Amino acid sequence: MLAAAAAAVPGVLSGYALREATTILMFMALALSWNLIGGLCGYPSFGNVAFFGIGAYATAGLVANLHWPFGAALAAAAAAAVAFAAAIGPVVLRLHGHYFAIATLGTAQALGQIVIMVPWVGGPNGVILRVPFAPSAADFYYYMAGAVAAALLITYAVLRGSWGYACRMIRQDEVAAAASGVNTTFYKTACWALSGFVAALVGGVYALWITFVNPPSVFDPVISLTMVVLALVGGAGTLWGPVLGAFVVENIDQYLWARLLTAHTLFLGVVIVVIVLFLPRGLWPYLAGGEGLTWRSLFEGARRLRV
Amino acid sequence: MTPALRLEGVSKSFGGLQAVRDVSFELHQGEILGLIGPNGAGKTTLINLIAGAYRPTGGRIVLGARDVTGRPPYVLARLGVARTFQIVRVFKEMTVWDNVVGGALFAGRSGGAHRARERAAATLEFVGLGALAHRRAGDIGLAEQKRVQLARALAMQPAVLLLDEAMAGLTHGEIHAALELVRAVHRRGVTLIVIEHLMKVIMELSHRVIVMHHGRVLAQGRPADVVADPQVVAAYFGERYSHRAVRTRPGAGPGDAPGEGRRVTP
Repeated sequence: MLAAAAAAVPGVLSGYALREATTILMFMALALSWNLIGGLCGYPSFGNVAFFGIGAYATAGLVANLHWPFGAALAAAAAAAVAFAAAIGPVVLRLHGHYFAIATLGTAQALGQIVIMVPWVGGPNGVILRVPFAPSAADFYYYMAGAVAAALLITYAVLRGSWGYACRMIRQDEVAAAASGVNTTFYKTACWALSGFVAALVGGVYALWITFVNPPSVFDPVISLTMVVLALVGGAGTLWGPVLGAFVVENIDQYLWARLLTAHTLFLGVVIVVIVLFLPRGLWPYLAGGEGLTWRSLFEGARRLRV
Repeated sequence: MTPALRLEGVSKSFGGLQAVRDVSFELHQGEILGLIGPNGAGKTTLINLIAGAYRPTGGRIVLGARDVTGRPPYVLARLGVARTFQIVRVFKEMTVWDNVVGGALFAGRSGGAHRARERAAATLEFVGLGALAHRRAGDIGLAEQKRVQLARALAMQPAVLLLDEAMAGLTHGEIHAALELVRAVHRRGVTLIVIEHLMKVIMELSHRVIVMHHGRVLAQGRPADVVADPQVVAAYFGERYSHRAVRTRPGAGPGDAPGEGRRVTP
């Protein structure tokens, strides 16, 4: 039903509204990407934009410079992100909590700086993408919807069965997980690589959609931060939480942006603080009906957070 | 018969601190080995070395016929070394049931999720947690959480089980129940190393006791002999008390010398 409604959107919306809907789908997929490592494994990546940037740049470079077809370039870009994740995963995933957050933030920033020095992709000037038959606005909507569907399927597959057990055990107590026979490095790196795969897909589609990539736009740390916030607001570690979070926050953001251009980030900040402080497990558990929302539960949430 | 576990000159230092120095011993099949010593003697470090949580800075650890020195904890878990933790580590947000399934899924030697669930169910009944299966592990009492740890370890079908202060912090009645449980585990053919500060527990359970002090093996032997050793008494209470060492009845074996053991505690 949800899929049918989503599929009908381009028939109803057009122009600006369709573009907004596509943006929301993009952030849903990005939030799901973050959720695979940050939510499922409890590793708060603040550098997932690295994968987004790799996806965007690899797609742009291959399409603009080598004239690869878009689909092949996108597949290669996703593979590059997976390879990058697999290479740095065993190193950065030895760190926990804040240290992991800083390491990933730094990695993404460094990658953005390195790209500036690569003339093949235009150095600081970036790459302009021109394709003979540019997809329509509706096509991009469906591409992003496809990325969301892929991310949901991946998350679902990870959550069910023994892989899901491994992730939950790692998130709650990694030492005990290892002592119980869980190859923690393998599962963490695999989730990290899947997270990279999804973000790179989104980055590749984004590059073709915007037709221009440069380091400040696709290695923007705000994109990393947005992924974290959307997943937390919706409910990290759940299947549908990041989708809900992206839907709620991006709608509020667009509503406020249209009315309070200068102050909208302030309001958005307040909304995020309130949700994270009083509903530390996000919105999804309440919507799913597993938990009743009472005054007591709100303050219980705020109290638990202080520990 | 090959020993269940053999340590050859195992050492571990953290920077300048030598936590474990040149420790060698054999753990026989089907044995309960008590590991005692004052605080900071290196007991938990030794358990961490055997379980693979630390990599030794010297020596060899042999499990059955296999050299497992420096292997990571998950490999040792799969090879049959299970443990519990001194400071309880349960998966707090998961149910008791899921905690035990977690152990059965990854280390249990006959594979498959279905078999893992069967094993988890049987283990929960065995440790007497059947009624709590669907409670969140973080919401139950300490004694029950310790049982969850034990059940998770048992669901791994271990050959060697390492219990690090499984009874510390329990009430008298809970200790009695826990003792019975450990005996029942042993009757299933599990070889155990038990760290415990409660002398009563060590004296009643152990076939053999190793005393550690400053990272070394200070003494080893039958429980009654070990607690009578003046060196051991000196390590616990200081030199002044060593001459007052308790005389134990010669030939006292495990299980029939709890009285003597209790006298050692202040």
